[in-house]
Amino acid sequence: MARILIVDDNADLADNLAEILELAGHRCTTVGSVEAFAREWPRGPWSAVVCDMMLTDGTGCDVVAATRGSDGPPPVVLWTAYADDGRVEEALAAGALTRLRKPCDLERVVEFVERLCDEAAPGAAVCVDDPAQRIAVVDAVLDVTPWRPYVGAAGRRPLASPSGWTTAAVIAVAGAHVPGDVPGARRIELPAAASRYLAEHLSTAVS
Amino acid sequence: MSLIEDIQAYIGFDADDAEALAAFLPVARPHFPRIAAHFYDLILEHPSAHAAITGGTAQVERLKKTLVGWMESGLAGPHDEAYFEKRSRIGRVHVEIGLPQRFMFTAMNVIRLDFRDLVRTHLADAETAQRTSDALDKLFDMELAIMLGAYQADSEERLRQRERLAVVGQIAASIGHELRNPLGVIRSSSFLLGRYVDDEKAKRHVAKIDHQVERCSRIIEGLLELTRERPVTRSHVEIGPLVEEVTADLRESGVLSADVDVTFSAVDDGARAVDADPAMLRQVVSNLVENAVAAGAAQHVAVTARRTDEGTEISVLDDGRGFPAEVLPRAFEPLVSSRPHGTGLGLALVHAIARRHGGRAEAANRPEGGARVTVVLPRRAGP
Ligand code: HEM
Repeated sequence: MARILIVDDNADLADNLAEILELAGHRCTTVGSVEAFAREWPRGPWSAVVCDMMLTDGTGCDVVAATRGSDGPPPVVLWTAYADDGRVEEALAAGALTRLRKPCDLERVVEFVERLCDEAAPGAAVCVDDPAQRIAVVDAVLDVTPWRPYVGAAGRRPLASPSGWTTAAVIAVAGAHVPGDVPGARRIELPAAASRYLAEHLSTAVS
Repeated sequence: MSLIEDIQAYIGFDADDAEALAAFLPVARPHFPRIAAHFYDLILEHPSAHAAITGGTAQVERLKKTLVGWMESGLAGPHDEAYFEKRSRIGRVHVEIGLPQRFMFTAMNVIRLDFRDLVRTHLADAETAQRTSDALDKLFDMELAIMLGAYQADSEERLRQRERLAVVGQIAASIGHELRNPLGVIRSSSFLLGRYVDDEKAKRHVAKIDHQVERCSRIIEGLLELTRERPVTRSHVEIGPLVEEVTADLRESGVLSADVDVTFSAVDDGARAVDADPAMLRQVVSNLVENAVAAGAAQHVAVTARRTDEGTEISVLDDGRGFPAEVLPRAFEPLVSSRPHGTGLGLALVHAIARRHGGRAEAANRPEGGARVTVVLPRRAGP
């Protein structure tokens, strides 16, 4: 059973997502603000965080930043409607794993969170210097491998998988900066082009 | 002061000029057909001007006659309000056929030089020749000023329309943003409801809610995409594999049924790939294929690509019913659709993406039936 923290100021939506994940056997806590998140966060450990971008007292960036302080932080998935908000990139750069779009990607959110919480699945660290491209790589990992994608600590600090995860591979998109060695990981270099190529490369890497 | 009086006052066109023109008319009249013929010969020799003449020899012959009439009435006068109205209308005809403004100057100059010649060879008296020559210059300047007025009115109208669209776009974008959250709740609630109810009838309604919410989302995403000024990030995109991918996606989502086939062919090897924004090009192909089959009658959809002097031309052809006549001229306008369930955004988005690449989109019905939409993506400027 995984513990998931949902941060969304739309309480109805947060509750619905929690209910859907609970039906799948997980435990969820919902909060509606950065402040409420800060209160709840220390009651972890959390398996994953699902977070909206626009919150009444701050943004998803604040949430991501708060999670990065810890060692081996859980993955943060942005679920947000604001497609062209520059802050999404900022949050991705700060270490959020990926972004999914409201309202369409509901099944995707559930699928994603389920995978992130699948304790039997090994992890795969995703290293892409361009945060926007990371979305495509993370999507490809979810679609064609059994791995749990995560990004290491933001910036140039060594990659640390969330506590208790083993690392199957380090996926680096051409030219990406890989912060450090991860024990037991295979390094996979991917071309920077379209997601289709990523998917092909990843599927051969798994088999 | 009316506009015609204003123009005449500036140019200094007065009763003496009108009189000089009227006196010259009987001398010049026999030469009008020759001048008109020369005028159209030069147009036909010039490829980009020739392009405006779509009706072949018959049209040229008709146009020569109208030009003779134009010379006749220009010299005869009176140069009053009614003349101004008539000339403005002629200006608008040229705007409507999309004739570039610069041709007005070059074409008027051809006429001006021919008349100058006529004066030189037919008016012996130096003073009369000078007076007539001046009057003709003023007349042709007046004609030009009126013609250009039509071009200006057109560009002002375009600007107004663009501003109107920009305002509508902003409103649409903010409404779109606001609607996403409630839609998210409806969607997740109906998802949960679908889990809780066993009743078949209830499940059917849940499915309908899902379907309609999905449609709302698509409309909103399309509107937002249309109003977003995302920069074009070009890279080398292979068109064939893209078409395959898009086709597979459309089949999976049920848009494209199994009995409709989609083919790709490149007319020449250079057209297998194009320098374009991959995500945008994907959207273009997806929207065009979806549009081709959405009317329901198409069995074959052919995507073709070819190189032209301009760049790469990608066409999507189908064998369906084609565009209804009333929709065709407005096919790329947002919210214009010939389908009861169409969002009216698919082709608008295609057009917007082509424009963002510096290109354009064209829609037509094929003589053999069905529709053809062509997107022209110019080669990137620079080295
Ligand atoms: C001094 C310049 C020009 C004059 C005085 C002139 C005069 C005219 C007149 C009197 C008409 C008829 C308008 C009506 O239907 O009421 C016309 C139409 C037209 N003109 Fe011109 N024109 C000029 C330049 C050009 C040029 C440079 C082109 C093409 C390259 C051109 C192409 C046409 C065409 C295609 C039409 C429409 C014919 C149709 O209705 O089928 N004109 N022009």
